[in-house]
Amino acid sequence: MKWFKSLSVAALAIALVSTSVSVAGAASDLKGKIVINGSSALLPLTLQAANEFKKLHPKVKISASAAGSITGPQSVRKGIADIGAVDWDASQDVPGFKKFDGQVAHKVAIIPFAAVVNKNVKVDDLTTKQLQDIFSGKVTNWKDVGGEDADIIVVNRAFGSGTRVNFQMKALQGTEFISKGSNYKEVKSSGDMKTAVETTPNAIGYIDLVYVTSNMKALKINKIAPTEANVVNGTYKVWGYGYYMTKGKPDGATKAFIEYIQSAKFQNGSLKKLKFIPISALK
Amino acid sequence: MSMVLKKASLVTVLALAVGTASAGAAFAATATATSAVQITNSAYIVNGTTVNLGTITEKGTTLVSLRDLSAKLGAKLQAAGGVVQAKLNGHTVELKAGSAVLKVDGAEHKLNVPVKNAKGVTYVELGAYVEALGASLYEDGKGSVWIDAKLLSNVDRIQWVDAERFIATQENETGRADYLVEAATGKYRLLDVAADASELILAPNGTKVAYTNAEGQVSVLDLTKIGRAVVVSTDTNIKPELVWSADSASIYFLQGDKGSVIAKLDPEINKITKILDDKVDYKANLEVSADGKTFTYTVTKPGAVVADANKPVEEDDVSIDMKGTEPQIYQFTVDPSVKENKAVQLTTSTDDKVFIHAADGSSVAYVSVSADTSAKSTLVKVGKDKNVASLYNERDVYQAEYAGGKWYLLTEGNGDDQFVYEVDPATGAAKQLYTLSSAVSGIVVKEGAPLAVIQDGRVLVDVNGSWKPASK
Repeated sequence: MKWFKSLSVAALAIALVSTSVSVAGAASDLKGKIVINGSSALLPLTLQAANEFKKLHPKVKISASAAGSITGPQSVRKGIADIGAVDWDASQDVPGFKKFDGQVAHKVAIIPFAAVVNKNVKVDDLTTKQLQDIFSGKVTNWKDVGGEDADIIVVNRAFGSGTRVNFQMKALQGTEFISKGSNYKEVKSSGDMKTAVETTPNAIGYIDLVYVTSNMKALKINKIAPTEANVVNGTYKVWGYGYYMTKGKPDGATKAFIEYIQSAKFQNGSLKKLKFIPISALK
Repeated sequence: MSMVLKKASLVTVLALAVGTASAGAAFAATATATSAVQITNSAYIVNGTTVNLGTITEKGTTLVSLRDLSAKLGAKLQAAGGVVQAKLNGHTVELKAGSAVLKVDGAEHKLNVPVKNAKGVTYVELGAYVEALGASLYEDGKGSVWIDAKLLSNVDRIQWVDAERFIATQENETGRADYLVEAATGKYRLLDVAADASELILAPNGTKVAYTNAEGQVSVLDLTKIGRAVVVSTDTNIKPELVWSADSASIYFLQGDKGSVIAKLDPEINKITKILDDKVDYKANLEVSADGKTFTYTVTKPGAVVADANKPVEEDDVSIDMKGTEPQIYQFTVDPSVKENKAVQLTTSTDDKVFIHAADGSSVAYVSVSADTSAKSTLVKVGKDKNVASLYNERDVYQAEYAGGKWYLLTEGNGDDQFVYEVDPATGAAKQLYTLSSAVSGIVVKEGAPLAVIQDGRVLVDVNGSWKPASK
């Protein structure tokens, strides 16, 4: 088990002075309460890290919840959470959302996203331009992008979704979505997106790569397949960082927890196991 | 077999700054001669064996006989034109009598005290020479100095394989490396584990480890021979936790990113069987009884959030209710005779529950951490009757490990130190075994193996009451 070395080093130094009292003490002296809210995509990662962290620092209480990325930095600003988990850097302006002043963004994972279609769709590959035209409603029939003569059903995530923000920024390069029509559908979660694309013929949507199933088809974008390897080698561009937002610089237990989730042990172990990509993969 | 544990030995942390004036003062034997050069035979433990080395103390710094130490360490010496060359661990060290410079692989290092010739013997600064050779020097709390030619460095964590060997893991930015280490000698070999492997889960019989990777595959590495890991399951489901069966034949696992399903893998035939799929998310800390029928785990409920997406973002219309999000312990027993068999929730309390272990398949022990952080953390047990009883509540418990029918607790000590207690879960009897420095960050136990501690990133193993360094 790895305990924080910085604390151990401090303990080493004070042990020389026999009269000293506990200054740093054992790493397990760390106490505090951490409340985390935000992205549902990051919740499994947060709870896994919390479970491991508590064995190193039993006196730190961590509770987590999720209700979509935007509620992360909102909760931090409101003062009801110490960490806001969000699928974009909320200290910057992004399509649809103004930056959260005074919040600090901490990268915790790389999340790849894929454009996905129902299995009946014959198209395997779309260009950025074709994706922009489909999601903005300019192109409405699969035959115009090399498929069969059938209306395209666009499935979009609701406003506030981190996946939506990332897909709009990275796959559509900031162009707008259509927002209504008989061939437009809006869903509230990754689970609903999965169901909608799997069960709606001629549907197109987008989802975290980890949630792509054998009952749907992930599209190549500009001839590049959405794979972890292509994210790491820089050819596949539709991915984003998952962030932990804090009000100013974190300290105490919150700082230690963020350091734990960013540590080599967690990034190369449990984080990969949960099918996220370590932040160090793209340094 | 009971654990080999020695009584109350004290690990005192002395900053043994290699190459500085503080090194040496503590361990050189006293010399009474009045001549300018006092040569003393001093006891050191070199590569695990106690030997006498000729030493000189000058300006509070210990100089050691170059020939004596090099021979014991296994360093090769060669002299030409007044320059002595020593080789060990791929390093070349050059030194010259009267010179305060040590050349290490061509780079110059300043010595506190120049290399000295006395009665035809060359003496060199102990700490600096050992460090230059890539060897390690460690002084234990009793004043014994351990010098080892080659120890594994920067070990992040270990687990005992058997009474003699442990697996040591190094973590770095790009991946990891796992080694099989002989505790007595520090000798190690690299295990062929994939860079994207999760932590290694040791089979109870100590002959193999299992791990999963980013593709969800499960691999098994045989520790009894040198070779590669074998993929035993190509299933791509996420597997947050792996647990070996008591007979080391099958692997149980939690499945999915939310750990919702309990399943069993038969590695021989790559077959997966679902044990429990009750749609309850965030199971963790899975334990399986020896008969493979009772499954103990925690369930963590995320908090409830109310947010109105139709309100402007600036209004921060969010509220969070974290009530009931503390982990609770559940048990599921496979019983085909029970219709709609369900898991039973054993606990309902609001404390945090860590270091959970279902010792005998009936009662479950864990460290209970109060919501009030000033309160002591205690070891408690809960039975099928859901009654919680205390096992140990004298001192604040930092870590609890179970081995050979006993609990081993790292607890608060007096002031700056920490204690290790052995607690008998049957009687609740607690016995203090060790006093440890506050720099000890964790204990590692296994039935039959000595106790090991991690202190400042260094693995120390209890060898007959002394703390032998097994890594540097």
